[in-house]
Amino acid sequence: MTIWMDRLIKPSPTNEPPAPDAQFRNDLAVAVTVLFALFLALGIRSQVYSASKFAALNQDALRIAYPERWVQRSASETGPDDAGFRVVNLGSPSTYDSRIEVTSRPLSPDETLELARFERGLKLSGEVSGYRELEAAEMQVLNGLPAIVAVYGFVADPTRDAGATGLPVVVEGQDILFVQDGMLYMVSLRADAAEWEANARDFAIVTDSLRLQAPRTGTTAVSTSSGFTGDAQPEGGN
Amino acid sequence: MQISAIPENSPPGAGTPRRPNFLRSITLELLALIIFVVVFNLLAGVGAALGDAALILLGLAMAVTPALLWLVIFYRLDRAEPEPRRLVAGVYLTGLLLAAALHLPIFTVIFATDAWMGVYWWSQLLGNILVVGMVSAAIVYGAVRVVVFDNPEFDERLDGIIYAVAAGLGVATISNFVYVLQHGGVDLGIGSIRMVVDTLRYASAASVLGYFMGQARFEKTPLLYLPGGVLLSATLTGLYFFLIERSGANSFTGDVWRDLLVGIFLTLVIMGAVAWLVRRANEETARVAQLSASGDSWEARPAASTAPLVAAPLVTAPLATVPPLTTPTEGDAL
Repeated sequence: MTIWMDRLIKPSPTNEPPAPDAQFRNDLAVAVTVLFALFLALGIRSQVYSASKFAALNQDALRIAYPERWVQRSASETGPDDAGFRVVNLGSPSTYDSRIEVTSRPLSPDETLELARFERGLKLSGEVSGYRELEAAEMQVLNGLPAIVAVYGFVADPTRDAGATGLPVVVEGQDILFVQDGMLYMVSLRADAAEWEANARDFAIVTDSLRLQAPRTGTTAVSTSSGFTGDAQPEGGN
Repeated sequence: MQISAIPENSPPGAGTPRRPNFLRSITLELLALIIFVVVFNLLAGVGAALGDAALILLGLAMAVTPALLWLVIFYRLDRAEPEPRRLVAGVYLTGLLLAAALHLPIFTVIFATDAWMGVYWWSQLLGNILVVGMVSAAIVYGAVRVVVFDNPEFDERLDGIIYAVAAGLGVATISNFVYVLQHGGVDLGIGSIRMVVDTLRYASAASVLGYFMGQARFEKTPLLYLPGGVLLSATLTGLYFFLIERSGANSFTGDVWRDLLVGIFLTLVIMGAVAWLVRRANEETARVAQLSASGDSWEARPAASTAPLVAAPLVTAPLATVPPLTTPTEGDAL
């Protein structure tokens, strides 16, 4: 310790000033140190982004990963029809917190995935304002289970409940519907449309855990135009 | 109080000119900043009557004021052999411009610090050190190195601290600007405290790097000496941010007065340590000069033989006049 302190106070045994090339060497060493630190910070950021937790649904029938830093909301907050869970990103820059919702219910007799998707769209068009389905495609989850991914948008008014007068938010959503062991699962990813790209890495944690991928025969568009439109009251946020 | 204690082993010319006490100047600075905070807290009610544009303008003026107070008092510290105003202002403006140019691309575009740094305590600590601290240290280093490092006016160790603090204040000013603009103006009471705390942490961390740069200006240093200074300065900045953010008081709802007390305490500790280091370094330089003149070899003096820290005077050692020791002895590398 003492020798370190001595070197700190008197780094050289002489009073000789440094040569010009020594200054250049110092500059280089400082630059390398700073760059290395920033590179390390990128690694830490990546570590934080990829940190995830798992949630188990229906007695472990489905395990799904979600970003560890997102906050789980209680079942009562997710609505009476929901049997799953909801996590929100309280650090969202938008007034509409990005969220992941998973719901499930038994598949009705004679109900197909396509019918379930139709019903889901119909329900959303009555629940939220300005609902519009943008695109839907057949995909696969969990190593081969058929799934439908529907992309939609609607208008939410998250500041209304708080009595504030903020602008409404255009929300982009993506529903992943699939059937496993007779249960219909709906995994819903939602974020302010302007923040969707910023949330893509977090949403990828969910889709990666579901092993969401295009079917081997290629992606088939189920519908590419607006499926439903609705004009219900805006969905509350936050 | 006039300083009169000059070590008997000082090199020729070390006794003149004399400086005001370093810690006394810091205390004056802290008092001025507290007055700044008190005044704006007394005026807090006025803020409610102002429009957004007026609040932003007032906030921007407030953002500059703590930095200017620092500069004036640090300039006073160096009044015995004052640095040219244009150089001090030049370093300040360079630090300010570099911070303004780098803030958005680094903190928002590349690192998006808001999205991940506050998630875990370790990501907050490491993020503050490796991103916030390192970037501000790099800006300080760059500003001093480019503007003044090779200038003949940079003629003593203390100048390294004065110029580094000036550059650090440039970074603090931009940090305060961003705070005002992000909040669409500023609450006069809380905003003034927040700005003072930011100014304190950037200035005190910059002073540490300034010490290392002052050493590197006049002495051969080992390869890891300056990078170590950058790392230490970044660590101090990061710890400073971490302590205050983790204390839960860095918000509109928290106890910002506690932030201020923590900031003042840490600044006094850091500045006190830097003052002690500068004094010891100057003493060692003078001792080596004496040994050189008598043909003796250099040996580190035990730390226990140092004088007390408080109220210790700074000694000016005009290093350019110190003859080099021609036969380096042990410990040439770190």
